[in-house]
Amino acid sequence: MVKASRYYRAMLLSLYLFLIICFSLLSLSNTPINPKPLYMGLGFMAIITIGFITMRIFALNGDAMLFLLSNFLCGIGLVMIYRVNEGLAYRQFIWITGGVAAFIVFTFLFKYYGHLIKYYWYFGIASLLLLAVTIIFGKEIGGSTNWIIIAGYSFQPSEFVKILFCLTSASFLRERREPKDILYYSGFVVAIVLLLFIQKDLGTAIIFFLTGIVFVYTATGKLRYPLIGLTMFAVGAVISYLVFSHVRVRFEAWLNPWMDVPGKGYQIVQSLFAIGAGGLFGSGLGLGHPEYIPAVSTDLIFSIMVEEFGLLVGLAVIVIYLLIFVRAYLSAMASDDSLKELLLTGIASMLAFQTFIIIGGVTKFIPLTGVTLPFISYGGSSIVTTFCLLGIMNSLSIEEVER
Amino acid sequence: MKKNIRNVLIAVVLMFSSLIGYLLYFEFFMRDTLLASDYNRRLWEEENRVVRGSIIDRNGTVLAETVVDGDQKKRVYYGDASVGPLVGYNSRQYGRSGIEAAYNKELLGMETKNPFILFRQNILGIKDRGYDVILTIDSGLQKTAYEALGGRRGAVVALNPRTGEILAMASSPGFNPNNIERDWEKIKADKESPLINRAIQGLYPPGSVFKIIPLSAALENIEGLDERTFNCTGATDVDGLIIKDYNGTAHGEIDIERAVELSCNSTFINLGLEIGAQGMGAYADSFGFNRNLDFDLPVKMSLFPNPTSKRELALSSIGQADILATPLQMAMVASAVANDGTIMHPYIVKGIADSEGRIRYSRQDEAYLSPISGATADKIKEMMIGVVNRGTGTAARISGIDVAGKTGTAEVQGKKSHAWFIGFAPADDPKIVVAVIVENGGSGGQVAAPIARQVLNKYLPRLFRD
Repeated sequence: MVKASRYYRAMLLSLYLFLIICFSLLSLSNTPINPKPLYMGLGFMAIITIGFITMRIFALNGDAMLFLLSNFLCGIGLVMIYRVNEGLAYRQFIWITGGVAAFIVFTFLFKYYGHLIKYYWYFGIASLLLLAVTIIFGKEIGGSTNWIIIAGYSFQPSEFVKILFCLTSASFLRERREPKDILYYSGFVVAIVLLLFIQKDLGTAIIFFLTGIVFVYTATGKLRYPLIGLTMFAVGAVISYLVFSHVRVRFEAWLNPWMDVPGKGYQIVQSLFAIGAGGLFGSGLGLGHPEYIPAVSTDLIFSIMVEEFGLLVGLAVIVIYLLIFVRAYLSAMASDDSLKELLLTGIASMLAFQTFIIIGGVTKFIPLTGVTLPFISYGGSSIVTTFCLLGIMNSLSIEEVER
Repeated sequence: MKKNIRNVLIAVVLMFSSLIGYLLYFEFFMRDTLLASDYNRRLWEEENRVVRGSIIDRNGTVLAETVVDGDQKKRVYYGDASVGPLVGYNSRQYGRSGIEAAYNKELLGMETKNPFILFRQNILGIKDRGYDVILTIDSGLQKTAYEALGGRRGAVVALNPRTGEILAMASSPGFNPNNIERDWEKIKADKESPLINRAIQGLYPPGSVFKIIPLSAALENIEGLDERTFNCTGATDVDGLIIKDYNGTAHGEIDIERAVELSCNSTFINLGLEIGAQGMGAYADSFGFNRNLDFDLPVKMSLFPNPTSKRELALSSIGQADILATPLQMAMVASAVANDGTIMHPYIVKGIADSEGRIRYSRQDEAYLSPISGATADKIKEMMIGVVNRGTGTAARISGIDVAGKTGTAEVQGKKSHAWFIGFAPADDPKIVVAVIVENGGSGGQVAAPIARQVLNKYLPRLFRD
């Protein structure tokens, strides 16, 4: 117990140090010196400290590292967003506060997961309904019709569906693993993917599809399911390439963005220039050119982060993600309950795919499809959902000392 | 189920490892070319922040520099039109060309800098200065070469055969980069294309200057060539195609040496047919044809298409057919003869120096190709001295110095011939190789050789004074 606490303290202290340096820099870069960034930094530190202490006091035993590591990501994201757009940072601060609260609530709730999973049918139906409603009442923002606006507040139902989807999948597959059951489950996944595809939200559709495959493989251990799944994916990709122009555009922009730099290739080329400009050490906070990068506070936030903090920090961020996911998988392997195993593996994989798709996309490793970078990108729905998922993982995982 | 989770874990770790590997590859192998892209607005941003480095010739003469006057920055070029196509221009409106384009990143000092130095500069408010690019060019010689062309369309390349350093690279007509923004429309529309650097971007039929290549092949592959005589009647019939000698002159009974001096087509056609298409292609390749030269500026590839018929082979042996060469390529051919059979890798950027004069990069000489043996080179050299002393190239003679050379008059369909001259001096210890072309200028001996003479004359006496 003592040993673990010391680690946690060291992590918190280094996080404080990082945040104070970054927000001080943001304060000092204004003339006259503007104390507001520093206040926000202190506020953020207060939120995560309260969150951490609350968790410890109520002995919500889980893997505290998950929370600490994600706070690093949230912190660097908040710094970047503040630097790019001060107004958005205040809102992001509110989302993070809400997210930490949701994290604690979900950690608490999932101590009693036995009661929750009885309702998985409702969760499944709710996720399909939410997506269907989005298609009917949705508003197009940034090329995808995946937003709903209620009373002036816009949110992305597809984000919340991630929670429902993981719960439904784990609960269903916990006991039902016959080929017939897998077929039913596949129907559910395909329905969700198609609904997202209609909204032109390709990235999210792919995330759900791959996560579905991981759920089935984890439950059954049969290699043929992922093979069939990936074949379907390939066939689907080819067909949509041939039929849908918006899919073709993304693919061509990936293959050769230089063909049409002001048009199709604009996003990816600007992103690559930013990443290249940063080099290993970055231009320094505040010295890059976020004004050249489209969607810089959301989908392309990784690019400006690498431009200003350097590739080494970019790689460190990737490693932090990997640490979160690996810890979740290790907890799943140490677990004695198949529902825990499925939920931990599924949620970790879902976030892993999301991270990979957007970082790989903005670096031209794979075709760019717009999704948020978990914990870092600006966005209320995304931040709150990711913290809810983290809460579930935290609740189900086992504290290090107990292993 | 533990095993399944472990496999998922492995897959995810592999996925992220490949991403990290790709990012490292991107950083170390793709980044440089990417950043140099004209689409990169950060370059212009750097341009505002940084004082662009100077372009300097081999003797320290400034060819281009940025003059700072308060908040105003102005790029000033020296050397007028003689350096235009080589040094290029740097305009926010019209982009960049020449050295300004090829060494943009260095001139802006854009490589990853030591973060501590950057930090110091930022704190102290030191205005960042890009790097200086030092050329191998001798700006005096460059001016002579340009003026010798006298406004005619053409190019002169002069290089040091021992090192590969380009001493002059003139392209005519040129343009004055100082006026690029004022005169853009006029320069752009000019039918004589002053923007093109003909020395490396112009592809021309080489005509008789190409004969050095079949001559090399013949000397190295045909036994007893020295003792043979050839009978020239002024025209040769190859499968019904009549190929005439220059002005239809019949040279009569001559040996190989005299054939080179008089640039006898009949003799070279006979030699070419004897060598065969394969041998000819092999020698052309070994002199650098059909090969992308890695040069400091973009170079067009010189072409020797493999002859597919006897007629084509015959035309190829006198440098016609579809052979195309840049003036730089022909200078390299002459430099093989001058440098004992070895072509040194040509270069034009000698080094890069930072704002405090420290050399950051210095080019090393290296051999590029070795097409012929030293003995062959010596034999060809003797014949080329003969060309200047008593052959077609007498206009290149300089009293007191042995000049070796070869003229060319390359026929162009429906237009006046291109005048060529390649050569070097002093023949016993070559210091400089020149290649001259005057587009549609007429006879190589009458038009190109005098230009070469002026260039050699300008460069050599000074050397002898040293």
